[in-house]
Amino acid sequence: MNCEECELLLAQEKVTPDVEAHLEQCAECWALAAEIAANAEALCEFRDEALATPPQTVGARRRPSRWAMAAAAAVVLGAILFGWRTADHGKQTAVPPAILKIKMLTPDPDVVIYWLVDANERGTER
Amino acid sequence: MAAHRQRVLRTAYRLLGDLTDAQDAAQEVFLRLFKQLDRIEGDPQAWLYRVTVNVSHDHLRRRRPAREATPEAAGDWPDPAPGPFRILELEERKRLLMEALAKLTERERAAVVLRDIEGLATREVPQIMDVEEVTVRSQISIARLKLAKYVRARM
Repeated sequence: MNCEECELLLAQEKVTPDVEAHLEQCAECWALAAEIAANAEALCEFRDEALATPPQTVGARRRPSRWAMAAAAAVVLGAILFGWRTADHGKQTAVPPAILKIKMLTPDPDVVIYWLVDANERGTER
Repeated sequence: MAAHRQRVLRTAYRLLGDLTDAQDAAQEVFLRLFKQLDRIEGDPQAWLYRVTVNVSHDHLRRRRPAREATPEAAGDWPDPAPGPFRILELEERKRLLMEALAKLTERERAAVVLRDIEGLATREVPQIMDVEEVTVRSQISIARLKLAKYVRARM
């Protein structure tokens, strides 16, 4: 058996009697066998390591969900309507707007819709 | 789920050699998992390993030229070995192994990470990598020899 054959068998973890006989007379292959065994031990240790998981959640990198987009659209629309109505209302009466903030939960726990309403216009509904 | 997350992160880290890249890859793997949860057939662990290898390879291709492994990250783990000399030797070996892993081909690295680090059976690795078993056996042998020669030349 030559060194090349011995190396391949060592790498395949096949320590046959031929390999053992070769190792007894070849210091190079004996050293390589020791290295392969030590590496195997070190590689096994990698298995038990605990690595730092990323601080952000998986969902944080996702594209905004439909709920999030709808919520954003609702907030923008609400703000526009509220601003328009307040401006319009301000021309007719001098009553300052009483902003009522409505919190609406959605099936997505990450998304909450806030709705801004002028309480003066809601009358007794308040 | 935490155990799966660690397994994916660990595998990606050994394949990529960089913890930040590995965290990105792990996130991508779990994003794919959530998207395809109802379509996964067979062993989910094998699926996770397969996607981890593929995502890590994609990261490597996007990140040319390849960066060196980060040795400081390789030495962060406690060692149960008894003596200080033994600890130092083992830590140095781990550091060199991280460097050597980065110098393997993608397929060799994936094969040796799955077999020797993750401890999968030799018949499981080809299923994950979608290649013949004889090919994987050869890749593992070549990788082990390369690792041994690299470390031996430096210790």
